[in-house]
Amino acid sequence: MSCLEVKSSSTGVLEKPNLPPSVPNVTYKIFLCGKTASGKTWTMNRLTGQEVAGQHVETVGVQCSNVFWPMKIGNRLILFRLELWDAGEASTRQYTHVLPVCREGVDAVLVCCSASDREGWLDLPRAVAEATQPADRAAVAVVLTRWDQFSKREVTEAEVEAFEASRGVPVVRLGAAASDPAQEMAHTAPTLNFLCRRLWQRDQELLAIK
Amino acid sequence: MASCTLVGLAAASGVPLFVRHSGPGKAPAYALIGSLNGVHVFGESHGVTLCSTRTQNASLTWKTYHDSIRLVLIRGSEVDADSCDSRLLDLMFASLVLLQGLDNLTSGTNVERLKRDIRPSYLLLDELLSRAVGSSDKPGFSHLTGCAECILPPEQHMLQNELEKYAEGADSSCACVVMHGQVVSGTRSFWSLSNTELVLLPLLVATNAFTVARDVPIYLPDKSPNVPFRMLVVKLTGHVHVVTLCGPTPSLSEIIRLASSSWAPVYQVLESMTTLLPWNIAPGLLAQIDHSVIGEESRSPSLNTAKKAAALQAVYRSVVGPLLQPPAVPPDDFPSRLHPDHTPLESYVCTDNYKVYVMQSSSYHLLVLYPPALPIQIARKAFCSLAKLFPITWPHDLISRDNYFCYINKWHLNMSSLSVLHHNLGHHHDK
Repeated sequence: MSCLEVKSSSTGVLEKPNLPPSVPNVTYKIFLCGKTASGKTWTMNRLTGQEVAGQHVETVGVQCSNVFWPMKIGNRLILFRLELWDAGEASTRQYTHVLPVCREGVDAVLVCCSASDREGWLDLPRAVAEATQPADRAAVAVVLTRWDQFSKREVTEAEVEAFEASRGVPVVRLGAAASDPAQEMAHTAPTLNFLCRRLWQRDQELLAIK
Repeated sequence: MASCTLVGLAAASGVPLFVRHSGPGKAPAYALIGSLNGVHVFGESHGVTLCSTRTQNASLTWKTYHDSIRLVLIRGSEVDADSCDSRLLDLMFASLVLLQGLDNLTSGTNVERLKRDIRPSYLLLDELLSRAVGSSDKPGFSHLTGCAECILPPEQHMLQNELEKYAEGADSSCACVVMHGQVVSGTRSFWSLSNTELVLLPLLVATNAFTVARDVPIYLPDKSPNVPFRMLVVKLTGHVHVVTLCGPTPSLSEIIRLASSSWAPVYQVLESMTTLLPWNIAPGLLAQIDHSVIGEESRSPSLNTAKKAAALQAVYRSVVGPLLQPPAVPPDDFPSRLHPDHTPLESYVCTDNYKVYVMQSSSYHLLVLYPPALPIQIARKAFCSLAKLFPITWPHDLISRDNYFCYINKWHLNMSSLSVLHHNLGHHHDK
């Protein structure tokens, strides 16, 4: 499997990248959860190739962004459309409709956690356990944000590896955005490749069960 | 460029809630904020309400809302504080209500919590501030005029039909199509929203344009300050968003599906609207505009987009209000008895860098920017021929006219009586 080309511009729901009609499309819904200021919106902006805000502003309500990511699996080119869903913590607590709409038909859950937040890290096993319900069979991964802020980092590499090994949940480490778009792509591409591969494998497993 | 600062304080305790600053320089220090509040409180204790004042290098405006939140606007410029600043403060308070609700804002006993709750409004406050200093990327006038900014594409009629159908499908009566913070079409109940709401809703959509869909709980500052609605925004193309105000249903995923299926047939029409950018004037009309009007960069290299917008805004502030009847709701202090014998209709302002000609006709204002060297009688002549291009006294069947037209602001637009303000013809003529 390899990534061919990158396309994550600012498109509306009526648009998609210009690829031959023979290329099949697959859509996956990904829910970003985590506590306040854990970097949910930041992760979403990074993965969709948007500018990230310098200052933390809490998200109001629910927001959804698309990433188009063409990948070659075997010999076939497949266009992945990842729908990223993100909800503000205050709105989730205040309104009952927020969480159900994010969880409905979800294919993967990304649990965001800031590497500079020790409590959040200690609470992560619980957060991961609560992230999915057995019924939705969603793939789970952890996103550790602010990974590059060494001086503020409260989580060690060894701890992360131990977590991955014991829980069987992969951890994606994300540092600051690069100002150069080409470099930025080199940062986010492995994450997107990893996500698409995970989702594709999950599909194959689910098909095999059936 | 002038700077502009907004300070929010808890009126009862004087605790600063937030400080937002735009433009060069730094935000005022904590001690200064304390004194600013102190001056106001001192006046109050003597039965005097301090509204505005002017120092050597700044003008200040105070306003207290519902005895609970006090806003102070500090404008570092040579312009006096005027009714525009007071209206700007009203808009800023309304943007707090928009996301927090009036009761949550005013009944707050916990100041720390209030500070945190207000934070999501920063985006909107910052946009209003950067518009006030003229540093916004998308120069707009709605914060001055109190009217929603609009675009009327040639296919307005068709989009209106699509929108009505879409709103019906979404089980909502209030819906609109927005391009870059400017309203393309709206349902009847959208146009029945208050002026403040019509200004703020498109701005709220524009401040977060990158997401494909959003479900935001909002309060309507005038119509429903305490009961939230769900504002469902779906991005149709890179430039165009469709907005609906809904109750508990439909869900965001349902509305995304509905939007994809119902707007797909008119995708080409939506895309073609980008030809109206950045002038918001149909290309056919653009070619007919007199050459003396400051347009492309080459005609007046000293004025870039931001400067042109700032020039028109400055003229608007100095002429509309003090001299000409303002468009939306006239402020309380509008000097209606100033010119008892006649109503001024035309005016012009000359500076070293530009000339601006202003005309009022019924409820429309047209402002045109000229180079400074152009004799004023020629400017007037060019202006009159231009006014013919954009018929100022419009027929009521405006919507049915083809190949229309330009950068307009409208307010209270209901389908039966169209009252449209349009101006800023010479504005943002950059490529």
